[in-house]
Amino acid sequence: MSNAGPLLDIRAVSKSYGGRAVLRDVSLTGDAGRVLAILGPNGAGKSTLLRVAAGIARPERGEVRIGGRPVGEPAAQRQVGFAGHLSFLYGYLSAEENLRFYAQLYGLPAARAGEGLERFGLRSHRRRSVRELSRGLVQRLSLARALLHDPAVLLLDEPFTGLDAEASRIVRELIPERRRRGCAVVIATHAWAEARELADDAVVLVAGRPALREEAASLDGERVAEVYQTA
Amino acid sequence: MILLVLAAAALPIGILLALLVAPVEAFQGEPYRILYIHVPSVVTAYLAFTVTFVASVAYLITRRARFDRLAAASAEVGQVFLTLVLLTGPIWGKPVWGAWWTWDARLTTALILWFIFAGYLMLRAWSGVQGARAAAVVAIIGFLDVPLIHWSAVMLRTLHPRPTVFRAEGPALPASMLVILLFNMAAFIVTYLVFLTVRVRQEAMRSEMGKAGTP
Amino acid sequence: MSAFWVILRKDLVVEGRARDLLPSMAVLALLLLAMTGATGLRADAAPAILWITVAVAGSTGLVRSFHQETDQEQLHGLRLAAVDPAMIYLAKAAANFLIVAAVELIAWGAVTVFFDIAIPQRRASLAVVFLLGTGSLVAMGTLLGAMLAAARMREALLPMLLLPLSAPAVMAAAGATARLLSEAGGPVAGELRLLLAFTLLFVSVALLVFEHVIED
Repeated sequence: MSNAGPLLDIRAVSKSYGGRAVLRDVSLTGDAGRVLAILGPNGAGKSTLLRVAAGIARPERGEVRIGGRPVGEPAAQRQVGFAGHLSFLYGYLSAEENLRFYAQLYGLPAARAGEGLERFGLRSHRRRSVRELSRGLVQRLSLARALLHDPAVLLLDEPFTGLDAEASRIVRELIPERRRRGCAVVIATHAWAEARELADDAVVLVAGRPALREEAASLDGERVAEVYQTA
Repeated sequence: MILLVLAAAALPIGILLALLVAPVEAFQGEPYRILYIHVPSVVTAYLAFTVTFVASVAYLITRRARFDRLAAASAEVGQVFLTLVLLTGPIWGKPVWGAWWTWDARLTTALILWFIFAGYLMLRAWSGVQGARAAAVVAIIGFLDVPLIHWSAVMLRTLHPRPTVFRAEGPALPASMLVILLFNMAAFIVTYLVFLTVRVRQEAMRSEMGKAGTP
Repeated sequence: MSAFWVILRKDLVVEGRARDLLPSMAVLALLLLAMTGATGLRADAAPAILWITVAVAGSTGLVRSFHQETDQEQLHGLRLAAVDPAMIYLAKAAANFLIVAAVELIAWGAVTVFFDIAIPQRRASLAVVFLLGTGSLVAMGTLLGAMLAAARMREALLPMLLLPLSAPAVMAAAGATARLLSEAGGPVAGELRLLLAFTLLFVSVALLVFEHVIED
């Protein structure tokens, strides 16, 4: 895979749903070893942007490249991990079976499933059907699924929503760990304080456009609220 | 606008011609005149659905909304003509064949096609713009299906009068009838184009107004 | 190729545990057959009724078989894992085929009993009609089911679309079945050719458009 340029390269992406423009000419990059936070009010297009970046939503204009290759190519697609509001998990399969399923699709040894369960504190629940699990456990399993294949680009949509304290802790440790490994991490969140704590860079998305870009450490609650008003 | 005037003029003339001027057919008597409506309706309906098919393919490839609007409008208008086909068939059939309906190849194909497009229109009605892609797929499948429907219906039964116009050797109608038939066909097609243009413009305006409403 | 088996196996495991599709489709099929018999349908109409019943009962299950791929956007999980959409279609179609074939076997059994039909001599041909007819319905139904589920459209649309679109297959299968069961007999090569053409055409169309059908 070519190493020229950023790991995640979003170029001039526009997307509409049912005639309504959600993303308007958005360009962003996610660099190796850095965490990018995407902020914005509800409906700003954060989730859509992440989905386009993950290759699971197709933009009308523009493109996304992972490590220099278009995200649609299998080699590039497999470098992306994504966890969002819905878990991508099968209710009638157990936690372990779900991870094994995805491990098989990624061509990974079955042992990886066990490792994923271990890391997210799910070993004791491994034989339980996902439909019986609480939301917090499902979120953890979804993260385990997202990381199964050790992706170079990790996209998390509101990762702290619905998590219990233990799981929150796991995610808070996860993000710097990924950064240390040289991954590009992108988090969508509406909480600027979270962004300031965890991210290196921040972009505020308003009405489908990047309205503010700065270092996460300089984020200021008032400024952010002002920018939100410009919607 | 010119089209509208043409259609407004041509259609009644065509019908009058069909009723008064066309000569009496030897074997079938007066009722045959309905064919001057039935046959052009068939041609127009199939033309309309072909337009829907092509527009649907174009939409899937380019994702331009105008192709979607064209496909939908053409299907709507085509369905009206197809309904006319299914209504005029029995009107002709009862006096001539002795039965309101037969399950011969052509009528069966027309009937099933009617259901396919009823399904298409229902799908659009129940889902709006989101359903554009799904509708396009249905239109494409439906169009490709028609020869197969015809084939299977032929295998089961055939009672329709042998084609007298659409034959390899050329039309077998006397010149006077043929002229009126062709005139009517042209009139119907022009009418279809008028309705199609009106519908497409309506949808285009509606979508413009929708866009203007959002920030 | 292996993604195909992984997904197929998963589908069968899920159906085995949910026991959602097979029982309801089978009961509906038996109910339709029972009603037609009870209302006085004659044995020579049985082949037609059988195939219509399978088409209707089958269509009630084909959207739901995709719900397991949409309730938590599992389809997107598959896309994320770079699974070829064509493989997804083939795997789902294969799973649907097994389930619908099971329903059909039950329906056949019921028809034989309700209408007192003799087991015919030409079993090989009958088996081919069975397989190709089911294959045709499932090829079309899997594509439509995926489409409706992915676009979150009403389930009720599936029978409305599947029945007319699969009409040639239902007609050919019914016609061939009738001829194979009758005393007079006769060749069914024409019908078999149609069923094969139908299946091949619509599997090809499905493989071409499936990616567009399921994408966001």
